[in-house]
Amino acid sequence: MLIYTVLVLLLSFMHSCTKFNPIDYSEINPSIFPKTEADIQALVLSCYYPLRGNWWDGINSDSERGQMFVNESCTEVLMGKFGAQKLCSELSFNETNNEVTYFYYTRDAPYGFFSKISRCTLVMDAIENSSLSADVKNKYLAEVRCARGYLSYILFDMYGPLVVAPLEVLKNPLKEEPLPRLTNDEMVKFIEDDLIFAGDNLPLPKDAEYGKFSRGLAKTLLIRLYLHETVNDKTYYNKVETLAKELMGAEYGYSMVEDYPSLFQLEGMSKNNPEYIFVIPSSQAGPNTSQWLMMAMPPDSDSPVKGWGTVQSSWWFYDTFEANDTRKTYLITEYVSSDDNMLVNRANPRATMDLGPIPQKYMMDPSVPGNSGFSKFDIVVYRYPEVLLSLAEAIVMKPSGTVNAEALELMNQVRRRAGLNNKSLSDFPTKESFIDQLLTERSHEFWCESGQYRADLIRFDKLYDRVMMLNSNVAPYASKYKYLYPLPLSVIVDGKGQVKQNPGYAQ
Amino acid sequence: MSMKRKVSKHSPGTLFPGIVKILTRLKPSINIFFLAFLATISSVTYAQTGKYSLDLKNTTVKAALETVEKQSNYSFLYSEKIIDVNRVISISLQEATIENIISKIFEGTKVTFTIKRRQIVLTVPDVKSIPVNQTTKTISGKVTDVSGGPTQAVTVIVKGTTKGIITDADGNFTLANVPDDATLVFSFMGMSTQEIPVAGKTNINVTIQEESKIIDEVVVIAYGTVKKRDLTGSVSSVKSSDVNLSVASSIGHALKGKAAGLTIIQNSAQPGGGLDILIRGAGSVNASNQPLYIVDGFPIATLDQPGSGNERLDAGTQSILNFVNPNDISSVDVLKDASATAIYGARAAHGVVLITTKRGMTGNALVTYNTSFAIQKHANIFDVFGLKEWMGEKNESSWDMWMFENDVIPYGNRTLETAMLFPKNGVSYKLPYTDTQISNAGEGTDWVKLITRTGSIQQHNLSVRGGSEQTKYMVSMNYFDQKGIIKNSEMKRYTGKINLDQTISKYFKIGLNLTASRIDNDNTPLGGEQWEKSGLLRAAVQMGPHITAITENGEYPINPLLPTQPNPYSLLTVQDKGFMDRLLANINLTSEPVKGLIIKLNAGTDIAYQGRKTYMPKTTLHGALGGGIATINQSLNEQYLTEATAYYTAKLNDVHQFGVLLGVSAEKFKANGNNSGNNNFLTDGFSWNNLNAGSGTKIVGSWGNENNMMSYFTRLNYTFLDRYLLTATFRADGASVFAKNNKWGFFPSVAVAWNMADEEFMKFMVPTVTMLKLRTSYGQTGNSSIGSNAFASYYASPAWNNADGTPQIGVFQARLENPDLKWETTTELNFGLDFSLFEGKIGGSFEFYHRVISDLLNYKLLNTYHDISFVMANIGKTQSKGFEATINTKNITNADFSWTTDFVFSMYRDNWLERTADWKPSVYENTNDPIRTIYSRIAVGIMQTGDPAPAAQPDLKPGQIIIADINGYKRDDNGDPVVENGKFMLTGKPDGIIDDADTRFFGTTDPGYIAGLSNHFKYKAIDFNIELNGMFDRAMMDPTYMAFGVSADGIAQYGYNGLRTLKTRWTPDNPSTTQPSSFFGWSRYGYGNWFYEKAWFIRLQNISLGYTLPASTLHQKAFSSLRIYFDLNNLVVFTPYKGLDPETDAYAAAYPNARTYTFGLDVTF
Repeated sequence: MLIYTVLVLLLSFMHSCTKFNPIDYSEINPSIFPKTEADIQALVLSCYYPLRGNWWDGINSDSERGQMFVNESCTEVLMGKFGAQKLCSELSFNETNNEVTYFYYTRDAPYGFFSKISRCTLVMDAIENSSLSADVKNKYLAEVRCARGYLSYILFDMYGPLVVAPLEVLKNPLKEEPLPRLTNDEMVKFIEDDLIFAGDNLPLPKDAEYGKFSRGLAKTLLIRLYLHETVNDKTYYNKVETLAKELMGAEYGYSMVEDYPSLFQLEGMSKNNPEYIFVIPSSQAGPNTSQWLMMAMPPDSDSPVKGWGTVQSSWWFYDTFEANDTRKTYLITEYVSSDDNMLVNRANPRATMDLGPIPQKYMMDPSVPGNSGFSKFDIVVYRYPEVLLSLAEAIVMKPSGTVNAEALELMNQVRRRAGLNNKSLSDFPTKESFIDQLLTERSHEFWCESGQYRADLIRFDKLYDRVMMLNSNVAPYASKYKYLYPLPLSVIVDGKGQVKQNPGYAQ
Repeated sequence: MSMKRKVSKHSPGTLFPGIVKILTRLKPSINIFFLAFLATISSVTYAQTGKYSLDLKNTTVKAALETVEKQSNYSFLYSEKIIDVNRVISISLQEATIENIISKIFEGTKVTFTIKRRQIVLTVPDVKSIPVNQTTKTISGKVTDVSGGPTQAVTVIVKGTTKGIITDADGNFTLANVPDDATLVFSFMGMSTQEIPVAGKTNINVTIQEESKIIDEVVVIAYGTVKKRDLTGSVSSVKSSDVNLSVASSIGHALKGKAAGLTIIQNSAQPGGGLDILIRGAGSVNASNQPLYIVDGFPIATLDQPGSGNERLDAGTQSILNFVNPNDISSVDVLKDASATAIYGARAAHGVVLITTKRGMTGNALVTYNTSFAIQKHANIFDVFGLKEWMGEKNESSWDMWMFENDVIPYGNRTLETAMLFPKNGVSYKLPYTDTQISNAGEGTDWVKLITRTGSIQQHNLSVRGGSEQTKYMVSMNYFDQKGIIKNSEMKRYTGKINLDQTISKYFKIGLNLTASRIDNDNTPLGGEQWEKSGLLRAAVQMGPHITAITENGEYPINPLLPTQPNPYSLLTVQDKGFMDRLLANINLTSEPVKGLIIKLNAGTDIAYQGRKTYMPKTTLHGALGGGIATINQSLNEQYLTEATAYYTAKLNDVHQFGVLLGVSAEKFKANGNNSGNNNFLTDGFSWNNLNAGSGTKIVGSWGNENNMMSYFTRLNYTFLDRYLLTATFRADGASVFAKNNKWGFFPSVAVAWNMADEEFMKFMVPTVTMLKLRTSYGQTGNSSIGSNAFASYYASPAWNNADGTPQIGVFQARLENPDLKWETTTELNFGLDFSLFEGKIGGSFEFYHRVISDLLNYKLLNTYHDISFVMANIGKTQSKGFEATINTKNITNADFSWTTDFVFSMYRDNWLERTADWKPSVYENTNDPIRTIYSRIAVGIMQTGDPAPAAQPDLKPGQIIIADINGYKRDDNGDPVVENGKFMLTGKPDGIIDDADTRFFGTTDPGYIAGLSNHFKYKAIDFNIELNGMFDRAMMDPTYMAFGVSADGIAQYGYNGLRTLKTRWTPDNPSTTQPSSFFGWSRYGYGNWFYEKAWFIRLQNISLGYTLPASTLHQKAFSSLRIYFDLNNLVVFTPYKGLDPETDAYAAAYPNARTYTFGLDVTF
């Protein structure tokens, strides 16, 4: 009797547990995903994700972990006393400085960005293999390819050609396969193909959602790519010219607003603003966040935002502005310290203004304190004057190009909006003098936006001299090879000889 | 504290204590003088009539007595030394009384008997005639154990005679006709023998002391117990009576240096602070190196406090054993080799810690109360600058920095004049403080003092143990409260425990273990993070003394040069509470349907409900930024176990002893949790209690997962001639976490042992060698701890914002699947030698092991271009080799004075053996490196002013560290490094470049040797213990020195404070060859191994002095024993290491270790 009881007990509970399927309720099982258009949309959003502003893993963060901050720090726009901002201000970084190699790749979370190109490639494959119609597929493919092209361009600009893995390799991730970096031509072709496809298939700005990719963005990025490549081939200026003129067409609906500062005020940040080409919509709850005011404002600011004062602009930069320029409205040159009510300015700079004015950029947002340092403002990245100034450059710099009235007028349009007088052709006896002015206008117009001013200076080989000048020639580690940031050593090791470090840096 | 009634608790040769008939037998050859064949047997049927029938032919007296016991519910107490139980008799009686029967059995002998309650004490009056001229007396007395409880069945013999008696259930004895000059010898299994001269006394009360006779010690092993003598595997056993629990927040804290092969490193000195507990090193590289913890047969979850959700609030670590009341524990057995652990299969790769709690016993209720109170002071503390000194340093360091930044000679080649004319960035030097300012400066803020306090520990422990033959119980309650030496750090524990053993019928017995505990943690922000995430201590060391702690308006100023760092004093306003409610319950049913077969069903659960609630008020920097930040995290962790085992033992021809265990178990693991939070509150008054009142970003989240496991296991024991022992085990584990192609794991082991001392040819060594056992084992265990599972999955998360700021959800790849993934397998070979010499005066074990862990579970690094660039995989092999020694000696043993010493020693070496085929090593990594390596460049000195920069370091500046150029990459014609077989190659020659080729293997972070030494002294009523432990052959950098003691850059640039060691740093005016300049870290060549210090240490862990009040001074009615003691914990650390503590300095400004002064009281009623 007893034996039976025991046997029954034994068997019954042995039977009770024979399946070994783990359950994690927080996850999605790949056998049921992706199926619907909503699933595809969610995957497409994962490609937007790395491009957002977010300290943790958004490349457009307006913090030291965002490309704008780091790239602008290489120029007169931003100066710093520690961290990436100091390394960049002195061009003293090297291959062991995670502050600059981080954007490419890191073995630790959040892993950097170049591998997110592969994410886009895999999402493209998921779209291709979905049961959606060809039109719908193209719509989503255009968004993903715009994301891929944009991200690739940012990294290409910073590091040079990347390792880009083809789909077949990505589908077999467990197989070890060191791949070399693309050649420059392959890299350009890769980005160009994506952006051309996106430019053909994305909606026009008027049809696009605010804060999402549009045909205008794809073509603006193409312009940036082509400008980047004019160092190797001046005929790219012809392509810039064509694209810029297209973007000036009525169907795009771009124009400049009257008041420059309004672009950086909450009221101006809407779909109705005809000047924005790309804005990252942000919120205090995230996932897209903007924290610029905390980065820029000093801790003893008399404004509502007592920030971290991580970075300053340079007085040299400030001095390049003409007196009436409205574009320096938010370059703050004095404030009353909340510590002791003393005036802090260029004459009495303390540690918060000794390098330069405060690059506030955006209007003050009193809701920053109380919301963990995040602002309600969206991050402004590309605006219409980018098209105008690029076109001006193309007209002048293209093969057989000259400094002509058309180019001048494009620049003057931008100057007039800033409250400045027109320049005349006689001001520019040489192409170089025009370009110098154009670069100055670029810095004044776009400071702390796209982070492309570094590329502009490099394109004309002016960055090294600028850095030396800003540092009173005390930048012992600066060198022209630092026009490219180093790849992290882990990527070199991973490449098993296939991946070569950028010239000048140690292996 | 006490090990009462071993005889009735453990039964030799069986794996199920208390079930099989209890018979403790010691081999005469072991030559223990006083042996007792004891029988305390209860029969389950009660004869109402009191009349019994007996019909036995040619049987031994012993068998006859057993038969009587079975029929009646009487039990016999006797000593084999006195009573000849092997005499053969025949007896036939009908309807006889018990008295008749006994008289008949002992007819013709001198045996007399007395019946007391249900116990019959057999004795023999004087056999040796006593000279008539001697005066004799009747002597009575009582025998108690150390806790004051009456001790039954102690043999009391008049020395040199066979006259003797056994104590009754109340511990009382009476012996008639004892000569005045006689000596009484008291002996009891497992207790030390005592000889007391009569010297005219008529009343002799004796407290017997527990004695660890190694060979008789009962060791708890998987699914049972075994005598140490019969043990074939490698087990370190620690009795709770041998550890000092007066200030230990968990048993883990008290086990340091107590068991060979067990490494315990306290990783935080905070109350209840976390322990890294390792058994035989850490050969796994990613999968857990934690042992499996089993409390009373139930594998428990290992839980620290949950996270807070506020990344600025790091609560440090908590020992996972905090929830168990250490006073409840009777023994901790550490299973080490594969033979001991393989039966636990897939989770036993890093050994098993078996924790056994105390149980009830037959007899009057034994009530004990222990209390202690301790105060804690930091042993030493961060030596930072006072204000005046600091201002001077600020001046000097900022000038030094300006010179460096401006490339002024000797740092660069500019003259001071040029630099002053053309300062870098146009920023001229400004002296921070004038001499007048410095001389007028006050004391400044002593931040460290503001956040430290005198800590305290108090605890109360009450336990009641007792029971009848049918029902035995142990009930206890414990309260423990430790207030740490850093303000706001506290751990409180409340536990209640019931252990119950109930005999239901002849066939069934039921057991219940129930532990309910509550832990309340008060957390202060800790951790090694910097800047805005700085914990209280780091902020306090770092904050300059020129900043005010709090203003008259109640504001907490911050350092304007370091605006992300909070005011440390303000961090005391942070509220951060953790709690854990835990129920550990299991119930088991045991039956013996036929003789020798024991079937046991066991079901249990471990349910832990944990929470963490935090509020960062507006008084703190980041609290203000968030408008007050509240978070609540809660989680529920459940584990269920059902298990059935059958155990059968049989003996054939007195030479073959078999034991077979079969078992099956099913386990389920469930966990879920939720978190919520908000910020921007109107007032700090809500704390976390009104989340909805915040207008900030609301946080909601939840998660959940389930896993299960199914196991079949078996063990075979075979003993031939009592000295050739064999154990074989096998376990099959099926686990849900494994990937689909490898759901089941199989873990076999085999062990053999040989008790050499029992061989005829060794007889000549007796009694010098009382035990000599050689054993060896070989087997496999597994490791499946890889997180929740290894399947491909996606996760959903906010990915982008809509134009209106609302979030849009994106879906991301979370994990790649590796269908061939399997558990990690540990294959271990163990050799052991157990010995007991000079009648047990010296005993111990030596162990050698070699362990190979194959199919190592780790994230395999995929090519970096993959979105998910790693996958859980089996990535190679490691090996561990080790040696362990345990030596216990009884240096002096006599009635008045005793001295014993316990020494443990262990060492292990963990190395890689094999790497995954597509391993991607850095150029300095080698296939067979140790697992926890230090790779470093070689620092050779500090560059001095006027020295040319080394050829390989053209950018090196005076005051920075010179690195040796020892090697170079092998390069092709283009100068690109060459790769062969997937690995970059070295030339072996200096190449004029300092790069990773000059980095090399330097050492390991593992300690070379670990040792512990305990000495116990007892003189009459005074006991004195001294414990030391240490780790040797060990190197580390002092993280606090690295952060605040070398470079004054922090003072110059950010207004930090710094350690006084800064005064000896290199400056152009004060060149040093030992401490580099403030800018050593700015060298692109690194600083190599310059800062590694020797970090061996010997810690005087504990000294305690106790005094047990003599029985005569006690009011017998109130309590039976009272001991008071004074105890010093962590008195001193001997070490060449210059930091605060070589054990707990896990990061810069880690929680300082405390010195503890305890006063305590143990009372038995």
